[in-house]
Amino acid sequence: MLPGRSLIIAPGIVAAALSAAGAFDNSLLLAMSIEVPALVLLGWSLAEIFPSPRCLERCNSGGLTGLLLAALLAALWMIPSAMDWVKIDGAMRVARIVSLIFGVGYALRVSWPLAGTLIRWAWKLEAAGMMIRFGIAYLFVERTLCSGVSSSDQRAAGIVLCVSGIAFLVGFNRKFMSPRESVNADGS
Amino acid sequence: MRNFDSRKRSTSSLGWTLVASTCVALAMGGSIWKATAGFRALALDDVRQIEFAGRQAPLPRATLTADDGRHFDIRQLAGRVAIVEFFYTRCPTVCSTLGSVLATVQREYPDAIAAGRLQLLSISFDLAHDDSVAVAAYRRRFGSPAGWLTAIPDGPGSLRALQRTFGFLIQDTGDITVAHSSKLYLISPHGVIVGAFDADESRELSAAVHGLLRPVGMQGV
Repeated sequence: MLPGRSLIIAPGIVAAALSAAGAFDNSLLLAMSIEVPALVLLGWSLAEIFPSPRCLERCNSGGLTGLLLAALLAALWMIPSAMDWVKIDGAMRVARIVSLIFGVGYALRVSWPLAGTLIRWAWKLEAAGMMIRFGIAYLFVERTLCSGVSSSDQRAAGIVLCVSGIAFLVGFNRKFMSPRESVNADGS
Repeated sequence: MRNFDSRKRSTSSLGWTLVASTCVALAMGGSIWKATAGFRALALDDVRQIEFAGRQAPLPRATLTADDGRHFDIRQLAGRVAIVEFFYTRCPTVCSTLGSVLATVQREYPDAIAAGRLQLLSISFDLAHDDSVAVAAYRRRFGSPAGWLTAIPDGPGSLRALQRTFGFLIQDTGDITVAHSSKLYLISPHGVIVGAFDADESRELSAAVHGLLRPVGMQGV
C-alpha cells in the first residue's frame, strides 16, 4: 500500500471508531469538518484498492447512479433530525458510518471517472449548493437544531460549510474566471 | 455486427442505470421525506411535533416497573388521557420544573384523576442509579400519589423503545449532569402521543388536557 494512501485510511478508521463511540455527537463543527470528510475519504481510498464489481458497473452508466446516491446520502446525513436519530438508535449510527464510507466515498470514487463533463459539473454545483444551504440554516436559525450542540458550535459549523461551499464553487469554476491566454501565430 | 452488439449492451446498461437511479432516488427521497416530516422541519423536536399532531405516534411496546413493584406495559395507558415525562432523580434542574407542572395538573383535575380518566406517569431513564424506592421518594416531593405513577423501564430494550417513539435523547456529559430532552408528552385515550409541551407551556398543556377530557361527543366543539 502506498504510504500516502495509508495517511488517508488510518485517520478514516480512527474517525469511524470515534463516530461509533459518539465522540462527534455534541459538535456539529467536528462532525462536518472532520468526521464526514474522513469517512468519505476512507471510502474513496477503499475504492482505489477494491474496484467495484462488473455487475454494479452495469447499473452505473455514466456514473449516474453512484453520483445520485452520494449526493442524496450526504444531504440526508446533514439533516439535524437524522443526526439526532443516530444518537437514539445504535443501528442508525452504524448505518450512517457505513453509508458515508461506501454510499458516498466509495460510490463517488467509482462513479467519477464514468461521468461526463456535464454530469460532473452539475454534481459539483449541487454539492457546493448543498453545503451553502445547510451552512445558512446552521448559521441563521436562532435555535440549536441538534440536541446537545451549543449555538456557538452550530454557528461555527455554518460558517465552515458556507466558506467551504463558496470555495468549492469558485475552485471548480476558476477555469472560467481566469483570463484567456493569447494564442501566438505558431499556435503556442 | 460488433457495433450492433456494442449498441445493444450500451442500451441495456442505460436501462439498468435508469432503473437503479430511480430506486435510489425513491429510497433516498423517502428517507429525506421521513427525516424532515415531509420537508417541513429540520430539528428532531419539530419533526416529532408534526408526527404527534398527525396522530402518527402510537405508544410502543415497553414494559415498566412501577414504584409499587408492579410490571406493566405503557400501552395500558390507553383508555384514559395521560401525561408522561422522563426524568432522573439526580437531576439538579429541569426535572424539578417538570414535576411541578405535573403537580399543578394534578391539582387542576382532581375529579378526572379520581374517576380514572387522567393518569400522570413519570419515567426514570437512569437505569443505573434509580430504583422503585428512589423514584417514589422523588414523586413525593411534588404531590400525592393519586393518579400519579412513577416507574422505571424494564431494561435497555424498553428504554430504547421509549426513546425511539417519544424521540427524546439522553446524553451523559461525564459528570452527574445528564443532558436530556425535557418535554411533557400528552397521550390521548386511543394510546397515541398527540403533543409534546415544554415546561413553560403549562397553560397550553392544561388546555389540551381539558380538550381531551371533554365527553367524546363534545370534542371539537
